[in-house]
Amino acid sequence: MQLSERALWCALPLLALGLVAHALTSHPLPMAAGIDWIPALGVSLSFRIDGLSALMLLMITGIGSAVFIYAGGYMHGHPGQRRLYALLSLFMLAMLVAVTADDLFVLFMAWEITSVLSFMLVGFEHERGSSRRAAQQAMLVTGGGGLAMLAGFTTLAMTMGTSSISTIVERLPSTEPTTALTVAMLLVIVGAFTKSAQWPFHFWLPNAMSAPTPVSAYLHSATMVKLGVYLLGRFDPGFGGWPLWSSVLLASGSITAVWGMLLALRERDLKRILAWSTVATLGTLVMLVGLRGEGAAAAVGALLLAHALYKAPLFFVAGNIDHGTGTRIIDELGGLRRAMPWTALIAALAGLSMAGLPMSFGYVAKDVIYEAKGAVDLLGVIKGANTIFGAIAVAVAGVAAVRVFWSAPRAGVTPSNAHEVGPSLLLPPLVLALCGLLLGIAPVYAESLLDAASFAMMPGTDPVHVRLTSLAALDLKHVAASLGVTLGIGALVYRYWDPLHRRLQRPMGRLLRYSSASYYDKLLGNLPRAAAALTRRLQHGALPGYMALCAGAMTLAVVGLMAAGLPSMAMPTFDGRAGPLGACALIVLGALSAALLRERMALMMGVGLVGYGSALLFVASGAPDVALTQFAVETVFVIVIAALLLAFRRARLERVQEPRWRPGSLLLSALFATAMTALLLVAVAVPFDDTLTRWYGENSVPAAHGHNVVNVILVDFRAIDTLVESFVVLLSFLAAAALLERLPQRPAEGATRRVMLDVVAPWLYALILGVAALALLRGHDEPGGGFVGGLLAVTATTLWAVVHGRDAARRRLPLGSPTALAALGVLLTVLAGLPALALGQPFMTHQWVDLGPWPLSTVLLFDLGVLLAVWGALGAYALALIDADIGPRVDEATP
Amino acid sequence: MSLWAVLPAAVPLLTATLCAAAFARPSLQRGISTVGAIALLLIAVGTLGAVVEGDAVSVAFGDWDSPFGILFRVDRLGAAMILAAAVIGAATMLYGNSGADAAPAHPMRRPLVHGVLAGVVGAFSTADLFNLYVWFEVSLISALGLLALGQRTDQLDAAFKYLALNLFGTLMLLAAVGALYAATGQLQFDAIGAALQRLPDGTALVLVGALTVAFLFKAAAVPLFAWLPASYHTLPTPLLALFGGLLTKVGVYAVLRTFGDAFAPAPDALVAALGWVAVATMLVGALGAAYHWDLRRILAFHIVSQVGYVLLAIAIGGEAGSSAALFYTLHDMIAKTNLFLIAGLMAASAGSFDLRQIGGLYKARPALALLFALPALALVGIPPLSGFWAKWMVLRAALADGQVAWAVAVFGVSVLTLYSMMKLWMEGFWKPHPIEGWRPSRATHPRAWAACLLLAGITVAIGVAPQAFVQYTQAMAVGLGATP
Amino acid sequence: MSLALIVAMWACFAAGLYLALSRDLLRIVVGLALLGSGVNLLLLAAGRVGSAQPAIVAAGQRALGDAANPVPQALMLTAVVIGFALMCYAFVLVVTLLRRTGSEDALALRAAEPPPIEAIKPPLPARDVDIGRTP
Repeated sequence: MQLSERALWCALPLLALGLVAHALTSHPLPMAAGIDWIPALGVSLSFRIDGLSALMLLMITGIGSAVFIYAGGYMHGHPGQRRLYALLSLFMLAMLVAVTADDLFVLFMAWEITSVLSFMLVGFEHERGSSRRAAQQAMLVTGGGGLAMLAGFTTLAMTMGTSSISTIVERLPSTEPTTALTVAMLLVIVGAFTKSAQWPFHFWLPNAMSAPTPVSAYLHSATMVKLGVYLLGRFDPGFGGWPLWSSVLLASGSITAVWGMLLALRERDLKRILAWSTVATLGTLVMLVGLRGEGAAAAVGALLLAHALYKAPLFFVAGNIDHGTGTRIIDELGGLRRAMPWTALIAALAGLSMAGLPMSFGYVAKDVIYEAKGAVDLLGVIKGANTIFGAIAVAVAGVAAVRVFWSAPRAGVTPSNAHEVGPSLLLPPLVLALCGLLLGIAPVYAESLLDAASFAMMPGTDPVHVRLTSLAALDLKHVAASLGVTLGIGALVYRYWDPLHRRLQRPMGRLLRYSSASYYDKLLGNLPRAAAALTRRLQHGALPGYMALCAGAMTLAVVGLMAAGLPSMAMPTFDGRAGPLGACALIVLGALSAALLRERMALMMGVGLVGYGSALLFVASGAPDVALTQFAVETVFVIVIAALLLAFRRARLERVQEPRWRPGSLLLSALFATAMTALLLVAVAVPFDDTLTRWYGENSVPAAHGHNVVNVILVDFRAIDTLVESFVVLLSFLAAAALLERLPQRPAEGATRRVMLDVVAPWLYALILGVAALALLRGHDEPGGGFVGGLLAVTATTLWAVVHGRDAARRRLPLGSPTALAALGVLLTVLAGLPALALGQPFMTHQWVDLGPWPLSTVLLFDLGVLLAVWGALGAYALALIDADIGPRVDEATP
Repeated sequence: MSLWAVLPAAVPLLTATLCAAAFARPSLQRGISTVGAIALLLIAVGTLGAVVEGDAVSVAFGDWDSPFGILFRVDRLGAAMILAAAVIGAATMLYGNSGADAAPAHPMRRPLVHGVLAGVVGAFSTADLFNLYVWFEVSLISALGLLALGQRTDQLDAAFKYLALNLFGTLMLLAAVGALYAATGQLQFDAIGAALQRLPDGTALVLVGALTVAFLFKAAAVPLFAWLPASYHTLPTPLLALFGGLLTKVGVYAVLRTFGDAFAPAPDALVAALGWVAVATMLVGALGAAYHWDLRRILAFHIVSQVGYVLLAIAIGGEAGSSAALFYTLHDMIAKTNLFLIAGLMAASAGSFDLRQIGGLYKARPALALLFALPALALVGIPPLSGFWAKWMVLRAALADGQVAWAVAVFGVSVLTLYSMMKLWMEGFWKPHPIEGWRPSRATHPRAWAACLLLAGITVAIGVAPQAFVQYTQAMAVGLGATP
Repeated sequence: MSLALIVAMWACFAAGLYLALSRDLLRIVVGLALLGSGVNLLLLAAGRVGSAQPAIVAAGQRALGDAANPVPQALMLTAVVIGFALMCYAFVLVVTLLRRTGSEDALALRAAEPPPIEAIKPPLPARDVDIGRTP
């Protein structure tokens, strides 16, 4: 990347830093601004900058500038450098929004975006599996926490009636802590904990060290992980007095502080050591938020600033060591001060601050913490935890600074190729470390900032004044008191770092088996197993199983509904009528024989009996049109099934070995049938409302000019049903067309010797078509209609195809193509409805023109359309199947 | 009477018929199809404009008083769904004209695609229960035709399973319609709804419940969902995207009508049962997606999971629940279709749909990676994309209604969805390609990209400026007769 | 309520589902057809079976006298036609399947959902199902 481009990227955070500094110095705090965004959901784009935000803003832009400049050098020559800068810039923007947002959900949005960007950055070296897994872990933990936090925010907003953070925090102290609100508070805490790597959500942070060092310095020590602390600090004035807030924060913070530091002892990679110490510092910060009192608020601000100023340089040092020597394992490092003098200086300055020695801002912070602890009545455990934290911090600082750089150079420890790194890798950390030094000597420069920050974290409006001990006012006795214990223990830990590491391996290893990290691993490992078990059970690939599940579910649902509705249901009664016994007997006989007989021919017989039985039943029930249609349809069915069975008999097909009696299916079928019958009986138990029937009966002749009420309903009152039904018929052939094309044709017979049929055929053809036309014309007043006519016409076409071959039959059709004919039919049905539009009436209002005895109407056009659609589509089926070789033979698989 | 109510259903029906008539002339057919798709889009916008102020547009066919004739009524809900369907139809057709896993160029493809659109739009327009059944049949037969169009063995296998199970489901729907007619003597939504009020509670519960179960079948809810993951993944990408974005949504729409509008107020027992069915659906879908490694099968299971979210919102009910249901449906239709299309692009570049056989797409095709990220993050619910508002509205509705268990389910399944999308990203984009020295395919698919960018743009637009959409869905929910 | 009609409907549903749960492709399709017949009988019963007179207004009359209920008849006709259209397609599909796979067994339909091979992960899609890639 060219220097000019690097400069452009680095200008971004510098510009932001400048803007922030200018804004903070020229306007009093707090600053607020906002516009409406989604009033329908109560979300507004409102922003507020108070002291805490100001502190965070300076850290984000300040450390950000350092990181950007450092990244220029660190990633020099890396193909992904531009991608890194882009992601870091987006991240910085998201952080700026997050710390200035005054709307809960704007804050949440920025929060989630930082999680996503962190995912992208941790997985920057995405070709490595370990980076990917680390990124996944970070995203799952922080994403999950974020979702929990969202639930908490939502409850909070709903209960408090606003989503403005400042308003909520103002009102919280005087609000009753109901269960819902307490749960919301805990959910918010969970969210903050996941972001700030608090126990038990701490384990993702060290793994996030897979990210390049600039990222680790920026996200995972200085800014993103502080976001959780920021959130807790933001809500502290509101929730501070509530039960559980302090206790949870103190407990978790202390545990994290100690546990994190202990785990640091187990590491050999310098970056991971620093990571665990970051975790521990975050724990201390959380603990301090939990502490009540003005001093605690000041301590939070101080430690935030101090940590940023020493940890980032230390990470940069780790990066420099990596660049300069090729390793970060402390066993392979030592005595580097000759090879890397500047880095050593930086490490020393930063280490000073981390250990909390005088002349560093770290000492100032430790001092404030000491005051805070002293001011409140604290459990001894917590005080002790903090002491351990402090001690091991000293040790870590020692390792990072003294051991790596000032230990005696030995062969096998100091890498031979160690060299100092370039200026862009030295300047940023040096500046930061020098800031730490400056503020340590003259902390007055930080006072107003810390005042504002503490004020933001205290309830009420009394101004806060933080007392920072400057170097001049140092009192040796005071120093010894506050530092003595920690320094002493810390020095010991440093001295015995390696033995401690060895000693702790086994017991901590055993303890870690119960840690949340191992639970996470177990969960992640078991998820594919659980998913496989469930999915293989439910989605097994066997159709009969699927069918059984669906039918069973339907049956259960109906039974369950009936059970639930039984108390207040109308009960069916029998009026003792038997009904048309003969027809029903045929149906029952047919159904049972089809189902239970082994012979395949029984299928055909059974279906036929059921169909014809139904037709008879319809006749006996006063439904001649339906009976006609059923009769015709059933005949076609039977013919088709017979043809299939005959064709298959010839082949050697793999027959299905199925037992005749399948008790499970038998039971399910019986239950299902009973359920459906019960459903009908329940429905019929209600007295029938015959409004529709009577109206149709009374209006069929006067308004619709038809005596056959059923036909009138089909083509006039409910014409759209019929129109769409014709469309379905057309689509049916279109759907089958591709499959039909592939069926091989039997070779066409030679010239037919069926002279008899030849002569009769044209007359027969015309006759059948005539009957079809008759059926069409008389349909409106007597049984008949478009569908029956269409079926008759298909018979004619089939006849012609049998005699003269399918191509001849196709040519004899109107339009010469059955598909076009069917399409025409559908178009005609639509056309029949158009004249009404021209007359300003709704679509499908039929128009009648009286021409003597034969009234001309769009009804006829409509019915003709139905006829043509049926003729075309079913004719197409017939023509495609007539010479087709449907006998089974295994095809080549399709390319 | 208004033409806006008829035209949306009429246009794809006519387009399909004309395309069928022109089956022997591919270029003419293509022209008709394009005109039809654009016309549908424009008319859908017009219909939306006609109803956005509040009044529904309707037409009583044949000028017969309701409930004696068939009524089409398009209100805010219908108009939004019709527009979404038109957008998806246009986008998938645009994609289908590119070379990325295109559907076989069979003359019957275009009429069948328009047939699917006609069935879906007709179902959104009608206010008559039997007519709704007929429109379902239109979609069914068209879908069957498209499934078997390629005639691969697995496609035939899928078509048969789809046929058997969906035919069963359709017959159940017809039976439920018959039972409702038996008890009320009416076929139109309003008339049935009014009549249901006069029936004894138990009878109404059984009847509405039976109808709901039939609709849940069409919506692919647990345990009636097996037909979807059994068949969808055999389709070529543009058809898969069409199916995935549209077909289950008709079932969901029908459930919303039943619970929120036509037959409201639904019995409490039924509502609670629907909620738990929804939770099961969300879980089964998310776990199924976690199990699979073929992109198409993963996304097919995600369809099921997202349907669960919508059903949960319907179960919560009220203004919050119904508006969340519609918002979520619209978001999901767009994002899901886009994901399917992008999966097609991924496979075209990387050479396979199976995550175990691809990788390295982030380095090789960074633009595709960014394009994928948008609907994927939207599905997970990351702001500022449409999915975040959708998920949040469902969560809000659940919390406001005091349904803690359901809120926990929303949380859990969201984490599972996050896991699944991360798996897609990590295995498809980040992980290096298993073959040494692999190079991505050089072919570019500008039309496919255009379709995906269009849909992604909509996702981002809804995410960044959701006010209009939220207001619309809330107005719709109020108009449905739901109590705020 | 006509008892015979109820029994006939029950028989159709039971037989239809029993066949649809079979492993034989042809039986499945026939079973679905029987279920369709059952639903038709349900529609008939829903309209209440009363008079057996066809619903045709007598010549010269202006209103329908005592006759069967025309509404379910119209619904049934539509259902029959639609069912028929679907059945036609179903038969063609069965024929194609039988020719392709040579087996009538529904359990042999595993091309779209192949059975699992290893412990946790699903099997890889077959070459012709997946987009072909250079080996």
